[in-house]
Amino acid sequence: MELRFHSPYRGWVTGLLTELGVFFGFLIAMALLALVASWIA
Amino acid sequence: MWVGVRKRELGAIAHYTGLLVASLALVMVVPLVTALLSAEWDPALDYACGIGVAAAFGFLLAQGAPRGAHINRRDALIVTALSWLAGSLVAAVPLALSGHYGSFLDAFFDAISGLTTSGLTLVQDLDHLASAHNMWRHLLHLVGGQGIVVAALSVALGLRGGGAMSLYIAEGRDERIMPNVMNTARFIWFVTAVYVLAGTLVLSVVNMVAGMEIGRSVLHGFWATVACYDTGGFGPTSMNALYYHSPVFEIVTMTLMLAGTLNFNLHADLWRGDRTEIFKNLEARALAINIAILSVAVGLGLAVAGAYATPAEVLRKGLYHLISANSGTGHQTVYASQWATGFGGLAFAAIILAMAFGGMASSTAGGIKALRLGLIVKGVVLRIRESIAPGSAVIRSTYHHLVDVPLTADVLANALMLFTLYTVTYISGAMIGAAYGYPAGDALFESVSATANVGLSTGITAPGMPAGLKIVYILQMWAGRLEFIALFALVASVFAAARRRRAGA
Repeated sequence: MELRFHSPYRGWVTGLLTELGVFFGFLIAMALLALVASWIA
Repeated sequence: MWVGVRKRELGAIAHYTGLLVASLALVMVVPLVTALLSAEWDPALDYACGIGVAAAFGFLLAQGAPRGAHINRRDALIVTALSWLAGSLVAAVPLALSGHYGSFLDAFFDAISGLTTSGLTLVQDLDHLASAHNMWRHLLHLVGGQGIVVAALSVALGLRGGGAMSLYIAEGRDERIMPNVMNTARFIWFVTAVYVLAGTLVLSVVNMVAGMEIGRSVLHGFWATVACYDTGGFGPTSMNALYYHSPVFEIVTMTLMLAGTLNFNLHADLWRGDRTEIFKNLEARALAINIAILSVAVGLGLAVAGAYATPAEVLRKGLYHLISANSGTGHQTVYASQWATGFGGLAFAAIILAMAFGGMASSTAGGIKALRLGLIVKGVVLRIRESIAPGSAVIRSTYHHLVDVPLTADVLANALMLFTLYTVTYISGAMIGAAYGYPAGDALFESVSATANVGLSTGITAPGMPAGLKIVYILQMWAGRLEFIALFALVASVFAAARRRRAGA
């Protein structure tokens, strides 16, 4: 039988990494929007 | 009916206000140690005095009632309103002693600006301010951003049960993340500790690579992290974020600003493994759409104004200030005078709107808040659907904020009331600024910045500004941070007590 240990730290670390991924993705999307807008102008 | 505060209740209010004020004495130990380690003897004396004043004032007030005295919801609102004021008075003592402020009013302005995470400042010769004082200014962001009540709750400063919950709600947080309010406070500090540690580490390396020596790199890294994560905006130099001239610094601090403006409930959901909530949450969607529309406005506005030569520069300046404004941080990489001359009308207006709208509820951000904007838009859509539906049709609407919630008239009325209160305060402050002779646009910018606890400045906020306007901005920062209700409860109770006294006389 395989024993698996659940660590609360894993949840915090993956949560933090998910947040950072969302923030970076969002910043890139907003930067592209602003760039397109400035080119149109 | 207005109900005034009676003598026994007054004792309980003094007791809890005293405990919250006394807790600031504990926080002042950090700048005291910083001063001793940096061999800054005069500032060390300033903080020894500050600790004495905070402890004496706090414990004197705490004698008003026995430990564990009961407080009701109304009293909790009054305690919260008074704590932010009394806390700022005490926090101003070491700043006033530093010799970098023209008067005690200026030091008090900076203390309340720090605690409310606004970031507007009246300090003089900031570039030569002692490390201990810079540490204190940034710690005010940290304590105020988390909430004075949350800070006190997390160390269980004699606050338990329903009274603790009432105080927590009175501070402008309406949601409990954990079943127990004390655990909620500790969770908020835990998330903050992780971000502050990570941010300090990364920014210290960025500063060292840029050529700063190690001790200074770590201090600047910590201060910038706290200022951005707690959406404060103070900086240790007069050039604020422009001092660093680093795109990497700007990307890291923008990420911290976004983390600071995220609702603590969303942090909790993500950290518990639910990765979908952030994409379906009404507040997260409202904030994302708001920033997206304003990004286009800023990009167009800066390009039309022709202030920057390349699209990359437009992007760097535009996005940084938009995120800084929308999150309520107030870090800036332009000189104050450039707002009026370089940004052009459209981008300038977009930044004002970003500040006015603000970040998410239950975060360290200020302003109207994305949740309320989302609810108002949903309400408008609901009204349109009702108006075109057959008379017999029953139209219902729900929104997703952690769980599916029905959109009721009460929810909408609450959102609209706060929208109106913020808007009236923005405009009132702008009219007062204009009455003092400042250009209307600049006065509106500064008024919104103060009320939404942002800290971006067109240069009106300066040591030489009229004392009356300093008091107006102090009131705006205080009212904006407490989302008006605690302040109104305090004023109403004072009037009711005065009326009862007059009737009894």
